[in-house]
Amino acid sequence: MTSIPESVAFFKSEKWRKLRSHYLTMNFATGIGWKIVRLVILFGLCYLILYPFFIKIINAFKGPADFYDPTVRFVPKTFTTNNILTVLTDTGFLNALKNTAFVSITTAVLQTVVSSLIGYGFARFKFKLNGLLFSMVILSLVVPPSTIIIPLYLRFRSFLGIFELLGTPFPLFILSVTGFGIKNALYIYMFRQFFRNSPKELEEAAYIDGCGTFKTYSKIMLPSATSVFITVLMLSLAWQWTDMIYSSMFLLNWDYLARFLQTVTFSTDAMVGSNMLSIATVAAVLPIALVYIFFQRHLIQSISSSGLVG
Amino acid sequence: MNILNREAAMKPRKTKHNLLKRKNREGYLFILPFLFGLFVIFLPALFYSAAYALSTVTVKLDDVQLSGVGFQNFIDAFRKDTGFRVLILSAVQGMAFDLITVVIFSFFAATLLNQKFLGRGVARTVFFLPVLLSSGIIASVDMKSVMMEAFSSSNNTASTISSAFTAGGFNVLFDLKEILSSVNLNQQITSFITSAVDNTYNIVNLSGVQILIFLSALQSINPSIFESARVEGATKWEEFWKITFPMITPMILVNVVYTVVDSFSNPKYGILDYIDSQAFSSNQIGFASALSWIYFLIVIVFLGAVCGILAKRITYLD
Repeated sequence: MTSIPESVAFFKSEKWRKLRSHYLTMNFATGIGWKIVRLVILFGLCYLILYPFFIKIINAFKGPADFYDPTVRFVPKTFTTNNILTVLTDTGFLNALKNTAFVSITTAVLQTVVSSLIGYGFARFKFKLNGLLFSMVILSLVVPPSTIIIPLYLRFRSFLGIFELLGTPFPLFILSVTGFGIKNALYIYMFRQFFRNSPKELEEAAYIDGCGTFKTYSKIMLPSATSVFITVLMLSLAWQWTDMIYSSMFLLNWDYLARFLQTVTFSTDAMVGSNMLSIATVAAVLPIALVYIFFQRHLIQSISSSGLVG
Repeated sequence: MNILNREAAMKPRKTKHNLLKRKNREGYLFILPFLFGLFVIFLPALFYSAAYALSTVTVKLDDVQLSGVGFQNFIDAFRKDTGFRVLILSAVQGMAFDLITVVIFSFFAATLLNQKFLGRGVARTVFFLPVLLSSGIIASVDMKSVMMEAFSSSNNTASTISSAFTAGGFNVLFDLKEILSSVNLNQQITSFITSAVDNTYNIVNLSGVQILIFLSALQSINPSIFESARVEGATKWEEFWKITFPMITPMILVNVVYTVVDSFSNPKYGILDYIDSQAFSSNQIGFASALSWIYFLIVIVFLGAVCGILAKRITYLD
């Protein structure tokens, strides 16, 4: 009797059967295949988005000589942090950043809260003029800001005939509170669609338990809208942060980001200017990206945020 | 006496839906801030811009003077201004393309980002960046800095720009057009697909907001619906078409509306820049207002058509 070769023995062993039933299945193959495809797609798209950003970050560390040296493409020969320090210690830039942060955070919070209220009103209450008024929301999304900016300017020059509001952030705050900030109609629309699509049973239960409409909204409906709420908050923050039309009209003598970047663009000599500009752009974008990293953790499906069970 | 009698006669009819009516009337409280903004800020501003569109506007020392010219500005926009017509036409064509590619792509990307995998937070943040990079001052500064680099350095900029602004490399890897035509695909479909691939960078940049909106919609689906579907033996395919897709149709509508508006105002087509240049450089505020009225009336017609087609296919739970 010849003994069974070792390799054959392995294929007859219990261990192999276990491995086979686990890994040599269609399910596993498609699972791995999908993971690889997903990785490739996401990596490619991320590369596509990050490439210009990446170039900017590299440029930030280049010395002046590197810009005229054709052999330098990615790794700078004369590594320097001077450019970055120049921008980050520039009082104009820091001041602009501070002012922009103040205005953007305030308007973003106001816009998000007010839009959720308005969106809920349009979604859940069948009052008479609902359709007509909601078409006004869509209209305000379509009308480009530059069309109504001159009348708005005149309006805020003497608001309600008394207040002189130009040169203060109050025009922006007033527009936000009334739901007419930058692309505010989109937020109202998002909230309205979300609330229309959420089940009615929760609200009915709340009404039966004696909640008023406002309490139902704040205690029941708003907590269930976390993902929309965060998305709207991020969008409004980002758009106010990079806004130039409204800011340049209303914040007359203020230092803010858009104005700072514009002056840098036109001021210094071309090469250094573009270097400073790329640093300033990265420094301007990074805070919002960091805030998003923090907030996106909450963008997950959870029973607590989805409200109704069953 | 008479009035009292009439009130008494009406009473039973009134109480019928009284509770519901009173509840519905509270809706006005919720949209009160919007009503204030609408009547105090937005509509007057719109009214003024309509008045500008119907007149010649002269700005004198912070004061705006109008002298009415009727519909002359509108007639001029169509008869004399040849540039505007071309812009609008190219924008309409571009919009149709953008609408299809952006909505499909952003839906696909959002489903990817909604799955669980290592580094999801990083990937999501990267996909959020286009919202920032393609908006307002960042986009306009970016454009200028690319121009400056092109003019001032010999650093192989031409290739840098082309690789930064188109996907680049697709043509080198394989000739997509040839492959598609070798399988006898329709010429129009072929050109649609190739231009979509060539425009990958633009499409990714345009869909930042839509991806976010879809992502929030996907997350607001109640997981227990999937659970019960799984217990009933639904496959992933069925889960997608019977649960996920119907549940996010309201947000598809939002995305379609937003994409249409965003695409029309895209600097790529230059309509808004053209209107601004008429208003502020050429100092023809009246004419520019007429142009922007034409512009957004066209957008509204488009939105109406698209929403009319989609509206019946949207499912709401209410």
